[in-house]
Amino acid sequence: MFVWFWVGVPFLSVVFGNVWATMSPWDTLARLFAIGDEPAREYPKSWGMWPALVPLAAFLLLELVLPNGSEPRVLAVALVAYTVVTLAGMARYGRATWNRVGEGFAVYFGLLARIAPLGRDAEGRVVLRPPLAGLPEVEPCPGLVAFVMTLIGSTSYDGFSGSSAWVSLTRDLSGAALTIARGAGLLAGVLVASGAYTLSMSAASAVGNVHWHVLAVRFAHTLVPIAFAYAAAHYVSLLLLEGQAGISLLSDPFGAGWNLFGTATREVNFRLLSSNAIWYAQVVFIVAGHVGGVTLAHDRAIGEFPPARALRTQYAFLGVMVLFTVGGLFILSAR
Amino acid sequence: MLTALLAHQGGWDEVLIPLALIAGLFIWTARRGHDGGKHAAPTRSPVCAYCRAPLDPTAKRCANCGFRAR
Repeated sequence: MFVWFWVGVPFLSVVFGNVWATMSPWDTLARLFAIGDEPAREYPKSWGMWPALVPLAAFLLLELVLPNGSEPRVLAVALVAYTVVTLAGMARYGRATWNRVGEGFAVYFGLLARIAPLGRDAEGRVVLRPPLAGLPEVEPCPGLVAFVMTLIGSTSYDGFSGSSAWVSLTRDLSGAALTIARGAGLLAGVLVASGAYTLSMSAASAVGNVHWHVLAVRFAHTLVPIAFAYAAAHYVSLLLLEGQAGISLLSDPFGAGWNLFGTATREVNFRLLSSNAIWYAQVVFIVAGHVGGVTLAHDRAIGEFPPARALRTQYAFLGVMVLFTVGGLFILSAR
Repeated sequence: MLTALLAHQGGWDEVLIPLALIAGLFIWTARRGHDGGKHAAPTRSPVCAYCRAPLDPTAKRCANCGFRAR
């Protein structure tokens, strides 16, 4: 179910739009019990998207750092705690507001949904639009850059943690030392990605005479296709191969010997994808994601700067995109 | 320790070449920006630099997006 949730929903989101708005169990619960229909307090604008970073970071810790993060008991406790916090946030600041700034998964899937060719217009009707066209409408808010950089950095670390270099480095570690090393690796991944982005925005700032942080925020939406590309490239094989296990689990979710839908005995077909096919799919995702990012950045630069400067502001960003592309493929090939 | 990783790829040149390219671009764009002497003193804008919403001159943060007023 982890694969279907963390990997499957992003794919659905970039094709069909914001499917999480309908699927979210927390939003459904809140609607069912009329929680957050009338917020108790106004949400402080200065908090921006920072609250959404907390559940994202917690989820990444469970997935990538803690040794017992995938144990059913740990996941159950985390799920109950998150449900309580989310419903409390919705009750205090309103369901719609909390889904936009505090419910980490809604924020993540909502950002990815802006890539989709399906969206909603101002009156709520489903409309067709060019892919990526929803991203320039991302509203700038505190925490947006940190959220996106955490997505990119964590996926990079996840990929790198499977490389022979990382395995060699951590081979002799165990227990708390291994957990600390994983945590440091995760943090380093986020910091490296953030550092590269900050440098490119500093270079653009020198050309454009605009503070680098303003640019970093106003160009943050250009990183969303890259975040998806990294996730897609790293997890496509997981979705198509291990995701098949979910079909048999549907028939016997508690391991009690049930066969509800007649699929309990279905086995995973590991020949569904060859290693060559996976590699080519990964290359296509990585390259397409970065081309999408550069396209969005060019579009934003033309709106932000006079024509004579618009192109020059983008050189460093383009360089970082090349580095990210090469780095992404490097990490994938080293696994 | 990194032999396996390097052997798998062509070597660090695959990372160093883009790094050198980026470093060159940083230096070039930064020099062009400074040489032009176009750095104006920061002035209080009537609109938010982040979201372009009208800004109260006395406000410390934008009422629309929550960022500090620049």
